[in-house]
Amino acid sequence: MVLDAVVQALHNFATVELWLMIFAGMVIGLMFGIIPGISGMVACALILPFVFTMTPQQALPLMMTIMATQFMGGSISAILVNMPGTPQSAATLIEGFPMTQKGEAGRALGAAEVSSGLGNIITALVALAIVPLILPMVMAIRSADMVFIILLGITFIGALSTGSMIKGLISGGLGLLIALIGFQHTTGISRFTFGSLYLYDGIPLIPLALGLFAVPEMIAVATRGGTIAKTQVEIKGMQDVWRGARDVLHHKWLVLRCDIIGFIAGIVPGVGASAATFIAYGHAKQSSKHPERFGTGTVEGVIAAESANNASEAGALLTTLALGIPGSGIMAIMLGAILMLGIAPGPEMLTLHLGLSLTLIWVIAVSGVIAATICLFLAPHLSRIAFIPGRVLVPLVLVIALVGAFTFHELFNDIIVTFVFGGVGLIMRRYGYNRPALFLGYILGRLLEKYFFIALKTAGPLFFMRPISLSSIFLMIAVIAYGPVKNTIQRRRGAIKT
Amino acid sequence: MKLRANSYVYIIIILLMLFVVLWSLLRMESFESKLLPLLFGSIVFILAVIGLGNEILAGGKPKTTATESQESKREETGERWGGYLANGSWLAGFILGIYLLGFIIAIPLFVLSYMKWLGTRWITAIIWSIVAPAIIYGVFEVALDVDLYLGLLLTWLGS
Repeated sequence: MVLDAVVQALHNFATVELWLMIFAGMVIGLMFGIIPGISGMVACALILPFVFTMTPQQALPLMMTIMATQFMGGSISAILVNMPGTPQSAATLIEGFPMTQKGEAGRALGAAEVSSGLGNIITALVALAIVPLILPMVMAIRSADMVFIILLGITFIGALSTGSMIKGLISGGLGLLIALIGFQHTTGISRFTFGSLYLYDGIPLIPLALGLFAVPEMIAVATRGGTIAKTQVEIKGMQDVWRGARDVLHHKWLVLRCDIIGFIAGIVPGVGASAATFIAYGHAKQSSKHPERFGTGTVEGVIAAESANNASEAGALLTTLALGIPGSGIMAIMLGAILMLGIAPGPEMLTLHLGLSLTLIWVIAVSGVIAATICLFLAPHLSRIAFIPGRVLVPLVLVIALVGAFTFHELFNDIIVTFVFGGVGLIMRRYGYNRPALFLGYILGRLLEKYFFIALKTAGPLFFMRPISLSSIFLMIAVIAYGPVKNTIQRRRGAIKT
Repeated sequence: MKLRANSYVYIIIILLMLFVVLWSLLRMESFESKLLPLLFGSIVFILAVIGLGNEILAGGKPKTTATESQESKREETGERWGGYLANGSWLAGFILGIYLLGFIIAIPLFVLSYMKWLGTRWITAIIWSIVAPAIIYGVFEVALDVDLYLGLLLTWLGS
């Protein structure tokens, strides 16, 4: 089975359309990565209306390339214009911009892009090696296990992402409830439709994604006003860039260690690239011979952050493919696309669609190499994209978002839904609620209900008495209890000291 | 006692969940259809009550929670509710424009007026108000074969 899938993946790479998708994804990913304030998440949300016109072999590589290349764009703005293009490039800025101020912009860029490219290649190879090992486990998963795996994924995303755990869990719960709007598959009874025929099929995915992710970011950019990026420093010459590339080879073990950190952080749903970059940065500082130089423009800091954020994508993809639980927010949108294309997320991706899954892993490596090469030569020119003023960008993106929301069903109500969820997204963004957790709950809610009733009917009320289900329940309790238990212990220690 | 903005969001969620739970109990007949809404509604309700409790208990303390600092950071970068409301109103106006005039007329009007309001130069705003609908028409109507919404006015004139 694996061999057939490898052949199919290679066959996919022999088609022109796949390369076109990789190229288009790279352009979009780099552009949205470079522009501060909007990231690959917004790009993927805006791509969703086009996805339903494509085949899975076209749509998924396109989205995967956007995800794999956005951080490279993000590092360009972080280093050259002192604004992280994506939130996951924030750690790069700590050392990247001081390097630019010291006149080492080229070196920082060279180091960032080569370590990014290597991060993509190494972790894609690791993911490819892991797939055959996890296949037996994935094939042992039953409906009962899927119920708890889905709940575990939502708990992870809600509880482990930055910000309040309660708000994260509330967001996930709200997503699950939104998914229950419409008629129920087992009984045909409509829920929370209030007599509206429009709501009978539930809240549509594209308007919800656009409202939740694209609209709030655009409103925020418009509210802040002005040009997003302020100043830019020029690069002296290519020699400096090559010096940065050589730095990566000089610190090859650091690259490898940070790739592993990023990969593992990517695998755990909810941790993702943002946390990975800071963990890797901390590790680089801790393991450096000169930790006192960190913060003043040290190339190891850039290498660590960029290795980790790119490495996390392969890990996040693996969890998405194997369990149907996205490792990051952007993967949640990809999961939405997988559903839209008629593929059930989860084990099916590593069994029925293994060829496509292997193609996606290869896409990470290939797009990483090409995008890193492009960025090495064109970074100074690409950084000008960061200077596109918000006052031009916002109206155009809002137009695309509303037209995109309309295209799927060609219903005006979809535009209203986009607007409503734009408001919901804005409030969530403002008060620190977790939008990816809500989106994930929404995507997986229907599946959860389906698996729940299948498990209940086939195995009875004790359907959870299976090793995978029980492990998931234990992990869920551990994740939720960890924070409060840790706080209580710290408070008691503090009380004893005083 | 003065409640912080965060608390109001919790209160809204609590009221919403009360509605979900009561509606599921009273209006849904089958056990299968009401089970999960009841379960998830109750869990979110409990979480929101805990969150509100934490907020009220922390009410007298200085603003140190992650959300509070996040909110003040947004204020510092110029993100204020007034700005959200003004830009949100532009979006609402655009949607009303689409409803009445359809995409092809509403898009250039929105792009021109909104860009000007945001401070773009006339020439840039005019160019984009011509280019944007042309691209949208080309991509969606011609390439993707989507029938863009015509609006009440054009539908009425056509009928």
